[in-house]
Amino acid sequence: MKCNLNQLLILLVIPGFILSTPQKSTVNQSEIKIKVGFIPLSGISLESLIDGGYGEGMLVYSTNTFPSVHMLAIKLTKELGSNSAMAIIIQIPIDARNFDLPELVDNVLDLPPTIVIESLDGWWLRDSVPSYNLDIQVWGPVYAMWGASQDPNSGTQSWLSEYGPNDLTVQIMVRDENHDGIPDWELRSKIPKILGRADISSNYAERKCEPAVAIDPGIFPLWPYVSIEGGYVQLQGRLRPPVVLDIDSGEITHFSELVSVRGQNCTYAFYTIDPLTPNQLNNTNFEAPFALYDLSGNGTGYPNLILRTEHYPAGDRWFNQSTRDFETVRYSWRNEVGDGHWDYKIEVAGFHPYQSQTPIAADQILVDSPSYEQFPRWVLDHAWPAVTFVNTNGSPARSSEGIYTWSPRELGDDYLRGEVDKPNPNAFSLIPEGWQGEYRFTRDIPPQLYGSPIDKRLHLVGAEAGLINLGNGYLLHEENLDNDLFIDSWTLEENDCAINDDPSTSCHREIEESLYALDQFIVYSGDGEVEIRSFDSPPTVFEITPPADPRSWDHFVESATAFSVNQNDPGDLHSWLDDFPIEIATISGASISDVVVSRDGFQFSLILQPGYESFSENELLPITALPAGRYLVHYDGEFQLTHLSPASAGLDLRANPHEDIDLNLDNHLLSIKAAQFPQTSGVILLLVLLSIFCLARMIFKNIPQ
Amino acid sequence: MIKNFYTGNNQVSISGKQIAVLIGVMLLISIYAIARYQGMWGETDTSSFAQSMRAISAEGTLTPRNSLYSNGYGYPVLGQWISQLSGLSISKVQLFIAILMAPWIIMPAWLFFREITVSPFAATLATMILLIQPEFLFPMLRGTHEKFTRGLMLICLYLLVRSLRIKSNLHRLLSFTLTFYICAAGLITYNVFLATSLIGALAFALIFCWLGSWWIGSRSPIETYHLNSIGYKILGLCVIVFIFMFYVYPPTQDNIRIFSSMADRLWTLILGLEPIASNPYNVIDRGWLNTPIYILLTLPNWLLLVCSMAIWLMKTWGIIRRKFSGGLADFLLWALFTAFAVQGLLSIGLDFSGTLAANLQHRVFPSFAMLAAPLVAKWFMDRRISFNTSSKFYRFGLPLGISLLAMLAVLKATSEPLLSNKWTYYSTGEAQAVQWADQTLSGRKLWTGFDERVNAAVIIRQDARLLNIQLDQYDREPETRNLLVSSITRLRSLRLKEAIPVKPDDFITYDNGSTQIYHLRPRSPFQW
Repeated sequence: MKCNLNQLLILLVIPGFILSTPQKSTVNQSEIKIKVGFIPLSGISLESLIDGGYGEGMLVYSTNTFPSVHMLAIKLTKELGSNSAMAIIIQIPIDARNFDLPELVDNVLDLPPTIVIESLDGWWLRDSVPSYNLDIQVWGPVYAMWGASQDPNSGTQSWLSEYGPNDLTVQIMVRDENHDGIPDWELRSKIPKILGRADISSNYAERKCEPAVAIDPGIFPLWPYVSIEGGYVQLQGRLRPPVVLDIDSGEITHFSELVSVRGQNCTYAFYTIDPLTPNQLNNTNFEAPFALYDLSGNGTGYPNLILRTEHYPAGDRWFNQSTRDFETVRYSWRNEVGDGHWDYKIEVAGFHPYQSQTPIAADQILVDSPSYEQFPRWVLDHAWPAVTFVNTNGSPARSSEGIYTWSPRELGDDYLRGEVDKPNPNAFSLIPEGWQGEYRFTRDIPPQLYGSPIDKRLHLVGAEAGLINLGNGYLLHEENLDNDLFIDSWTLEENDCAINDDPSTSCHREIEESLYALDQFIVYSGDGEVEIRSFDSPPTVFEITPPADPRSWDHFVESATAFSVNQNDPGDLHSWLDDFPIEIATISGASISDVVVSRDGFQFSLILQPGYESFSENELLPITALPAGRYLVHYDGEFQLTHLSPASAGLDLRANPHEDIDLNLDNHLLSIKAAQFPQTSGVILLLVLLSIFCLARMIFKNIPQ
Repeated sequence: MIKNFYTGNNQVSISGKQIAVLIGVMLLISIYAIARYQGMWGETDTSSFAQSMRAISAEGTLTPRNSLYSNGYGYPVLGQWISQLSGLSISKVQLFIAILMAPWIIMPAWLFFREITVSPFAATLATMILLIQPEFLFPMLRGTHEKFTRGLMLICLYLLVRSLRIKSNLHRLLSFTLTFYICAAGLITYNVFLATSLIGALAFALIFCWLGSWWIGSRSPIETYHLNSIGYKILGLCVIVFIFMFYVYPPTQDNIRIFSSMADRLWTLILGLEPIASNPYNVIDRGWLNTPIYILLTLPNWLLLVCSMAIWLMKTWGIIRRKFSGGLADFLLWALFTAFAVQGLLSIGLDFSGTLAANLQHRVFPSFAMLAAPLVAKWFMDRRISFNTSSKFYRFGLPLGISLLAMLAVLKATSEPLLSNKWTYYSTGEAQAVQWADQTLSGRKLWTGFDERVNAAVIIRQDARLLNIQLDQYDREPETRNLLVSSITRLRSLRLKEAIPVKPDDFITYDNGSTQIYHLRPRSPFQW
């Protein structure tokens, strides 16, 4: 489209035409300012065109340097009778950046676009509200979808590197159904080019609660879709224009998300490897769903419950074609209004098939995932074979996706799929300082927490073991010795291993203290002393489910806060005995080890040092007058002591009479048996032989000499 | 220049008898192949084509999304047509009819050999030599395109050579040319890769003919005319191939990638940029009872190879010394042999580079044999006076030797389990076990053995897409927890010296006497 001479003359002489208010806007960025000019290609004013008037014009984004450098040309059109308005965004090539405007119009308008935006409303800005009912097409290397990041410095390449500048890369649908200027949902679809790679094909994001969003109008508030700052992800609580222009290179680098997945209070999102297809039920894979909730109701752009899922339907090739569905859900929450930090996490792994039919994208697409509203309860109500629990203990982690630490997948995907017999031996061996982590993977029950009367902490019901990193080389190991639902063993270890060091490397480790809740006793060992006290409390103070809605969140916060006030010092196990005043036995100069819980009681090794002293209430533990040494203490209703003597080993070499198995099987003969050469085929083979013989004779007999 | 031996009623009568016996021999070999396993066998290519036939029928298109045979639709369509026409199932067509169709190869072979050797006796001898080549017989006795591809190649060669003898009859010339193109088009629909190989060989042969006759200086105007006409025919074939690949059946464009890959791999190998990808000839140690057995079974191949190469060297020496006495047909035979020998040498290099499953030599050898057999037969006929063919050796010894070689060829071509480690047969018990697993282990994987033996058999008999289980073979996939173990598997384990991947405490969940299905004992909460 060319601008006629009259129009250009008008543009040159009329003060309001170009680079003047209100069509002019400048932004500071490293001393460079961007100015925006308008060229009315069909005589229409910018205000009218923006408001949905028929006609066409061109916005030019240039620097205010001298000479001016033109960077973007945006052709705005609305054809007569059309219900939609179009914006064709063209990056001005380097050799045309210093053209004067008429030359620019002549040379640029027919260039291939980088982005084409269609406003289905037919206008761009009306009553200061921008239109976000848009269909968008993005060409070339513009970061317009999650996973398209490229870092030329590090050499990181994404799928985007496979697309040329004139390739259509991403299509985007954005809808603002209530016309409040804040998009309600968006669907981004990668245009397939390379098959056989696990790239994300579809992004879907839906705003699920009233926004606390500040709208940033960008460079030019009259057409508020271009910014010179930002990236793909929106900042918390802000909506910046999506077209990000890099004023150093003059290129469009991003088309930002318009419905932020992580930058708002409540989102229902999907990142799927297989594309989401309209008019069919989609089996979702990868991050499906990614759900963020504001259970406080007072969020300021951050959720305080986040469910990050990884799901693969049965047979999905990106999860080794496992024969059953697989998913992990990272369920992280904050006990306060969301601020990007996280207090707790449970993470579940299991094999529940998705059986829902959830409509998304204004009912245009059906997915098999549970709905946004049902999803937290869906997770909490199901039994899971592998669950971890993390408590950040007041050292909350900052993350936009919840707490990553201690995923059940540390056990190994191949182990969870049943492909190998043993889990990763290094799983759950490290945790950040101050944090508590627990895990279970031998029973299939719903995720639940309980408050322990022993350490006054929250624990995962059914946990098999856990760890608290106390810092400075101190670790408190938790264990569930009797394989019931509760932790009953605490061992304080001091080591000189470097923090986050490989646990397999050798370093000095020493047990400082240990405490066990065994049957009706608390058994303590530490600092050369063994104490046994009576324990007759129930195993839990309370049981509680992780929060799934505002009400349960209030309840959880209240319970957890009140409970944590009295929690025992994890670095001083002896102080825990104060809660159990009834003494059964006290032995100084002694220690215990090898604690084992059996069906009818428990037992441990008791080492009495020379000169030990003991006190035993009612002689329940009969140790007075025993010589120093190692004893086995067994309890099955009453205590029994047995002196342990050192083990002696011997070797008995005898011939094994069973080795006379006849291994001289003649496998060749067996093969003959297996081959079962049929008699008929033998006859036929002889006939073949005979007929060839006759044929050969016939030939040689009749050869003409 | 061209001497004609095949005139006279007596000769025609003898030729007719010889052809009848040749067809009878091939029919007997086919019947033997069927009787040996009584339809209880499976093999990868046969199962692939069965799948392809079913996919064409199910999806109603020549380019089904699944089980597409990208080299050509000819054989899947023929099999489907026979099935529809006869009412026989695809599995019966593949297991029985396909083998019984093998004798059709005799007529094209005999016709071409007669044309190129200019002797019906030489033609019969050459056809017999071809029939005792195990590498040639093997593809004939399977449910694949090869018997038709080879037959059509022979017809094309026959028509090409036959047209050299037509001097002035334009009507006949046009008829032969049209028939040649129809057959070539048919060949292309069956397998564009082998068709391209033939075109390449013809082009090379043409060049060799031009160069050879130029060197000798004996090329007559009519021979020049014929060579030109062959050149035009090659160009015509290239056009047909182009139309077929780019407009009629685009899946064949995979071949462009294959050819490109072949060139890259060969250059890489020649330049020593990469070590040898694989030694395809190691299969001798694994595939057969032992090396002497392999050599014995392939004796017909080696004899043909040595004899034909010796004759070719003599002829080449004659050409170098400008003492070549034959006509254009002889020259063409020499040139075609040279061209296919060059392809054979290239294929050995490509096999070492790992191209196309490293079995290209197997695919090229039948083409080579198709030219080596008439070369040897013609040489014998040309020197028949030097041999005393009425001696006992020719009356009794040589026929007996040939018939023993034939027996060895048949045993090798049918992968006789007494001698071969590659077993193709299966038992009723194994079939029943797979059926049970399909009904009761839905969605799970079932390991069926050390190779594709059982899987191929199952897929020939039923549509793989309808299976509820996933069949696993070779090394057990880590997620496979059900294993089919039969008496054949156990014997195979002894033969291959490979352990069956079950432990003594694994569960036997199915047992029909000869075959068991084991379920691996769960050793973690995530195994079931």
